[in-house]
Amino acid sequence: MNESSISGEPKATTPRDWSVLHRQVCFGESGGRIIWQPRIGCWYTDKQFAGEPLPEPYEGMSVPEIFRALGCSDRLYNHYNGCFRESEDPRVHRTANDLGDGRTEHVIETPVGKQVAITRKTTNNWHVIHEKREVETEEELKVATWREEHAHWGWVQDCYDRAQSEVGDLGAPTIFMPRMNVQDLYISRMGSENGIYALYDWPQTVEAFFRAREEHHEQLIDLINESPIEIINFGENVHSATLSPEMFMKYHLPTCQRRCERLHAAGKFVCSHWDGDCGPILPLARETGLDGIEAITPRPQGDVTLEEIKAGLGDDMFLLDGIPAVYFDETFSVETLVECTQRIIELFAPKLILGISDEISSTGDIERVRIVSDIVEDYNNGCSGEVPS
Amino acid sequence: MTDLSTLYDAILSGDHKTARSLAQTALDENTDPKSIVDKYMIPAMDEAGRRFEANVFYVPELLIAARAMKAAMELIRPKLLENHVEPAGRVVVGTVQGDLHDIGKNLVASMLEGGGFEVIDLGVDVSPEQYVAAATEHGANLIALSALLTTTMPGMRAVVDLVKQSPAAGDLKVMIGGAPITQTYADEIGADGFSDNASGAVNEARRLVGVTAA
Repeated sequence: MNESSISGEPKATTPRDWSVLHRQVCFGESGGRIIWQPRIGCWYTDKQFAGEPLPEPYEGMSVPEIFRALGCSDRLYNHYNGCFRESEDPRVHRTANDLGDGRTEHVIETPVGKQVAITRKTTNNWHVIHEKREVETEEELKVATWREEHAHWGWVQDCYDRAQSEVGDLGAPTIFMPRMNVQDLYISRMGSENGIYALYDWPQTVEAFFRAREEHHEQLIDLINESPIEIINFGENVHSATLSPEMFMKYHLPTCQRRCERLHAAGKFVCSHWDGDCGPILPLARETGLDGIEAITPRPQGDVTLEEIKAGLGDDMFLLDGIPAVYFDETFSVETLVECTQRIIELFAPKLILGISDEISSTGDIERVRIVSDIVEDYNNGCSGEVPS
Repeated sequence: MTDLSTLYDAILSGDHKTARSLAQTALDENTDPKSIVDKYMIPAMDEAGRRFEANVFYVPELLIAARAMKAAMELIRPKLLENHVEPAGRVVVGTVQGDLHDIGKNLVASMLEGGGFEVIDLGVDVSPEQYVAAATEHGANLIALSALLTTTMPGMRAVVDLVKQSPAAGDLKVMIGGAPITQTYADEIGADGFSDNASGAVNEARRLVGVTAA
C-alpha cells in the first residue's frame, strides 16, 4: 500500500452484496474472511451542516452511494432501528413551546406528574444543548419510571422492507437496543453529573427506574427474537471513567448477562458499544455474555493498547472497529494507519468486524477509508477457507 | 472543639451534608477559615485526586467529593473574603468554541476549586475573545481550555494566539486538556501547560501560577 492511493483515481469497485459476508463473519461461516465497516455519518453530516461540499467524487452522493463507492460495508443501525417502534401510554401528552433564540421547552405530561426539558440549538452542528434535562429531580425520575412501565414496543414491517430495498446490499440487518440502566440515566435522562448525584442521593428511586426499564426492554427482546434481525448491538456508549468497575459490576453486568442469555436463546449475535476509556472494565468483558464489543479505542486515542484489548476479549469474542479515528486525520501518517490496520487483522481475525473507533471525523481524509478497503480486500483474497454456499 | 478530621473524611467520602454541617460548626467555634481550608479541605481533595490517578476513585467518587468540598466552601468563602485571604490563583475555565462537552471541564473546575483556586467558569462553546475578556475582568492568571473533538481542537490555538497578543501576555498562562489533546499538541500550539486528567490539572495549575500543594 502506498500514498498514491490517496490522491489517485478511486479504484472501480464491483457492486456486491455485503450482507452475506457480514452475516457469515458474525456467525463464524466466513472461511476466515473479515469485513470492513467504517462509520462515516459524522463526517457526512458535519459537512452538510457546515454547507461544505464533499470532496470529489463524492459530492452529490448519498451515504449508501458513498459506501458503495468506497468498496465497503455499512453497519446499518440507522436504517433498521426504526423497525421497532416504542409507543408511550396514550395518557402521555407532549408539547413543545418555542422560547425564542433557538430555545425550546418540551413538556411531557403524565397522570403521575410532568417532566420539563429545555433545549437550545447551536450554531455548530445539529445537536442541541440541554439547558434543563427531562429528569433533574427525584419526582421527575418517578415520572420517567411510570413512562417505562406503561410503554410498549411494536414491529414496523414497512421500515424493514424499505431498508432491505434501499440498503440491503450494504450489510446484514442490524439494530441498536436502547441503553440499559446507568448509561441511560447518564446519557438520555439526566446528564452524567446529575445522574451520578442521583445514584448517591436517591438510590431506591434510581433502582426502581432501572427495574422498570429492564422489564420494558424484555418486551423488546421478545419482539427482536421473533424478527429477522440477527445482529443486536447494545448502544451503551460505555466509558469506564463514569461507569466505574464497581458500578459496572453492580448494575451493568447483571443486566447485560440477562439480555445476552435471552437473545442468544434465539440465535442472535450480540455486541455492545464501548466508545470511551475501558481499561478498568476490559478484564470483565468475557463475563458480559456478549459476542463482541464495538468501538473500543486503542492508544493513542483511547486508554488501552491493541494487545490489552486482545487479552481482554480473548479468542472467543469479536472486536468491532479498532482503528483509532485520529489515524484518518492528516496529523498521523498513512503508514501509521496501515500498520495499525494490519496489526488489528493479525491479532483479531477472523473474530473481527473492522471499523473506526468511533467514527471518521469531519476533519478526516475519506480516501484513507479506501486504503483500508484495499487492505481488507487483499487479506480476504488470501483466505483459503471455504465459504459455505 | 470539633474534630475537623471528620471534615476531611466527609469530603473524601462525598458526604456533602456532613461536610457543610461541620464547616458551619467550625465557623461557629471561630476556627480560622483559612486553616479549615488549608489543613482539612484541600488535603481531602488532594487525596481524592491521588486516588483518582491510582484508579481507586473514578469520576463518580471524584464528583461527589468535589460536591462536598463545594458545600463546605460556600459557607467558608465569605469568611475568607472578609479576612482578605487570596486564592491560590484565579482560573478562567471553559470548553472551546464549537464544543458542547462539559463533564471534563466541570470536573477540572471542581478540582481546581478544591485545590484552592478561584474559578470563573464560562461554560461551553466559548470564543477566544470571551476567554480573554473574562481573564482581564477578573484578573485571572490562568486560562484552562477543554476540548473533546478533533474538530474543535484548533480553537485552542486561537485562544493561545489571542492571549499572546493581549496586554496580559506573559503573566496570563494557558493550559489545555481533553480526550484528543496531547503534550505534543500543547507544545505545537504554544500552550503553557497540559494535563490529561482532572487531578493532574490541579498540579499543573499550581506549577503554572507558582504555588505548592497545601
